[in-house]
Amino acid sequence: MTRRAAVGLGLAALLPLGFLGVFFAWPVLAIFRLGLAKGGVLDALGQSETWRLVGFTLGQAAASTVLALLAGLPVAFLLARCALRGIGLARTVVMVPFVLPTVVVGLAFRALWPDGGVLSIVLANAFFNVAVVARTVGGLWSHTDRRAEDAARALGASRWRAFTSVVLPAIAPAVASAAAVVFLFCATSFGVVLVLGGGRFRTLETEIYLRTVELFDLSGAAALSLLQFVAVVAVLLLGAAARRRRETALRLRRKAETARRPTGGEWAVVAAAFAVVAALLVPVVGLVLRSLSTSDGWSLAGYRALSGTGQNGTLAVSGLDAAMNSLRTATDATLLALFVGVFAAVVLVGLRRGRTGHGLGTALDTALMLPLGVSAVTVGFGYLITMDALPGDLRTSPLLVPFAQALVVTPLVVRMVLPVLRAIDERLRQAAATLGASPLRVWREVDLPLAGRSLLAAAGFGYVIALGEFGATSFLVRPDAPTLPVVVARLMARPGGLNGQMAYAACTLLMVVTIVAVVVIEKLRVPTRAGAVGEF
Amino acid sequence: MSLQIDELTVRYGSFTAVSTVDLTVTDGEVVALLGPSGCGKSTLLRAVAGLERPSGGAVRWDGADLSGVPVHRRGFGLVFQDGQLFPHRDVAGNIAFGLRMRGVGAEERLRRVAELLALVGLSGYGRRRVTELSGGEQQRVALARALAPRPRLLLLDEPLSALDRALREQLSVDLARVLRAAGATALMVTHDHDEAFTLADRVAVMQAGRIRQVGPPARVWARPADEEVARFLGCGTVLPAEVRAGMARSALGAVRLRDVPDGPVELGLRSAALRVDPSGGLTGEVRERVHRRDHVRLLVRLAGAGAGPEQVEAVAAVAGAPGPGDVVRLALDPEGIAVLTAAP
Repeated sequence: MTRRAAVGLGLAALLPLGFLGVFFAWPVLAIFRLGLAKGGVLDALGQSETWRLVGFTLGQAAASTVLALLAGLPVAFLLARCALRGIGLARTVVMVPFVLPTVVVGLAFRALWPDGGVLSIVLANAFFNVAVVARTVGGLWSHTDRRAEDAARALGASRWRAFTSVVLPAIAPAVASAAAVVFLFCATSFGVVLVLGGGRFRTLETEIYLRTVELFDLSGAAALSLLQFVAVVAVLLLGAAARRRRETALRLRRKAETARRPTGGEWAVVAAAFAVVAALLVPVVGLVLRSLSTSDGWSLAGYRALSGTGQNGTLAVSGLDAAMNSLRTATDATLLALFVGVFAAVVLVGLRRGRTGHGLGTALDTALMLPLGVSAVTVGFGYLITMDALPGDLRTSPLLVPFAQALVVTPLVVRMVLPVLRAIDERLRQAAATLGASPLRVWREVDLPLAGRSLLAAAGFGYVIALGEFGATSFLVRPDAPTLPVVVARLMARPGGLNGQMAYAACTLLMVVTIVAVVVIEKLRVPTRAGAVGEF
Repeated sequence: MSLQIDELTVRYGSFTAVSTVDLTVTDGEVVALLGPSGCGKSTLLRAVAGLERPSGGAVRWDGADLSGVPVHRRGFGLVFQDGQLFPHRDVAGNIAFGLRMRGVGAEERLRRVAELLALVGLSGYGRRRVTELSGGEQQRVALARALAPRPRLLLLDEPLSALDRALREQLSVDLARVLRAAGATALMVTHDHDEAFTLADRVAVMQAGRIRQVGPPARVWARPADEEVARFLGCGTVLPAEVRAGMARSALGAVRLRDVPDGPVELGLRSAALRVDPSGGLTGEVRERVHRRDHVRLLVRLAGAGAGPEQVEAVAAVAGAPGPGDVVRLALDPEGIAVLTAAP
């Protein structure tokens, strides 16, 4: 890399870093200042209530993570190692829960267990994250050389012994990385806990929300945010370490060479995997049924009611208007996230390439992951106390929500596009350069065509995530322009008459959009790189 | 029209991959950089292409320093070991790539692509997907792609190493023909002697980041500069000798050598330097035997070795080759003997 190119990359890195700085670091730091300023942190640390919250947050996250791992590993085996009919369908079904809006999942489990409780929270969180385990572990598993296993068997290891001594060490980095990500998602899970736990079961995340919105205890909320951030950073660093090992330590093979028809005891694992896949469908089907069944039998009343504003005008706008708001906001957020995310991915690839930029690259990579772990509620809260300082008072701007959603979506875009860009042999770009292509032309002629499908998939993926984003949106949305998930939460908070029915109907619609998006994404999947989509 | 490399140095941190290298490639000449893996030859090639930044020295074209010229403006073609064809373009799309970058019109592109396909023996392959091609075909397409924009210099980085042996030998002959037909000026990196000697007008032997010897292939082969170069070029045994009137006398006997002045020299013996010969003056016992394609290679322990080596390599005809334990007589063969040019 020439010096000029290095300087160019350094400057280019300023764009994603600037975005992160203004729309992430600044709001979050403002929260910290608020938390530290009035001794809020010390107060909070002294309260037994705080430690009960911490305990419950970590406990439910740990339980959900274990459950997601137990359910996800057989599915990972199925997706990675088995050549069977129906694998494509299973892959799609597994992916659906992950992109479902949190309020939809919350409501789906509430339809199954109206009483809620800890068990339903853990189940819902695990339901969400089976996809993360299956895809992250499966992605690596499908590319690890099967011949190492065959060699172990030929040397006299039993099937189980070969698994524990050869396969498990090979996929352990992916398992660790998946566990770290799932733990984060569960610990900062907001919509699910809010809908299922109500006032009884609270995590740090919902407590921050309740203290801000209902108790106006800003300093207490800020103190809890700070506490949560420290824990998140710790987990993220562990995950980053695991990821680094995975990228360097393995010789990858094409999937076609590693998938076979299962034999013997493997069928038990396959059966377990299909059982998990079937179980994932239960809340989905339950939600659809619940949206159609009223006390008077089957009816479309909930769907019809979406054209109105709910029982006794619960809502400021009609359900349809909210749906239109959702679509508009998600479009803006996706475009923004694609721009920043792709830019960041290109910079990261460039930095990894150069000898000098390696450290900066790793730092930027980890920084870009931070918003994934920091609670969306904290970010939303932070916007409220900082954005008035920007010109044009962004707090009342319709762009505020898209910015917040883009912040949530950008890390996912980076994680989807980056592996594909990194997998492009550097010498392919060099070949183009020696043939006379300028750096910009190389990007257009080589990177873009080869990463195009995963870019489209990232766009679709980002769109549904933005559509269902609830944590930050619920803070920032203007009362006269709510999105669909916000409307759903409001309807559930004022039950009675048609409101509940309307909420279930709205959730079903969100779910349908999500499922369509997932099917399209699966179609766009780059065939030889099983892990490219939805790998973290 | 020539490439000059002046005291070029490339460092990675504290490691010096290329150390003050001087080399010239003149118009229409093919020069091979020959050396063991890790000697810095690929780094040197990449520095010429503009893909590595030198820490000292200069790469010049017709005297003009190229240090400020980025890769895509140097007009040097590059062929990688494993092709690196663009997977999303067909064969014609790959070959036409460099022409498109230079803004060549569609009609001219078609003509040139057809011309190059014919040159590399792949006429009619234009619409094929590159992923369907065999390794040898891919390498031909890579060569055609690099030649299409008529680069002023062609850089070849181990162009045949990824192929299996039979294909490699055939393709190296084809490559030599194509380079001559295209009148290309080329700098090629290889670790394979045969490849270098088949293709190159001059060979530069590189070791540990430095060029140890430059010259025509036959000269380098017969007159390696020093013991290290000799050993890299296959001389397993190096021993002193005294030349008088064209006869070299050593511990292994006397042999007639051409064009060697009188005085003390060092001889480099390749395995073919000693042949099994019933009238030979050396006796020994066969320790090991390995069959090669057209001869048998032996490891022989010499009987009553004095000043000379205790064990030597030797060759025998495949028919009736002796086995381990057999006692054989050996004679020196000047064909397998190199004379080191640096005085001992």
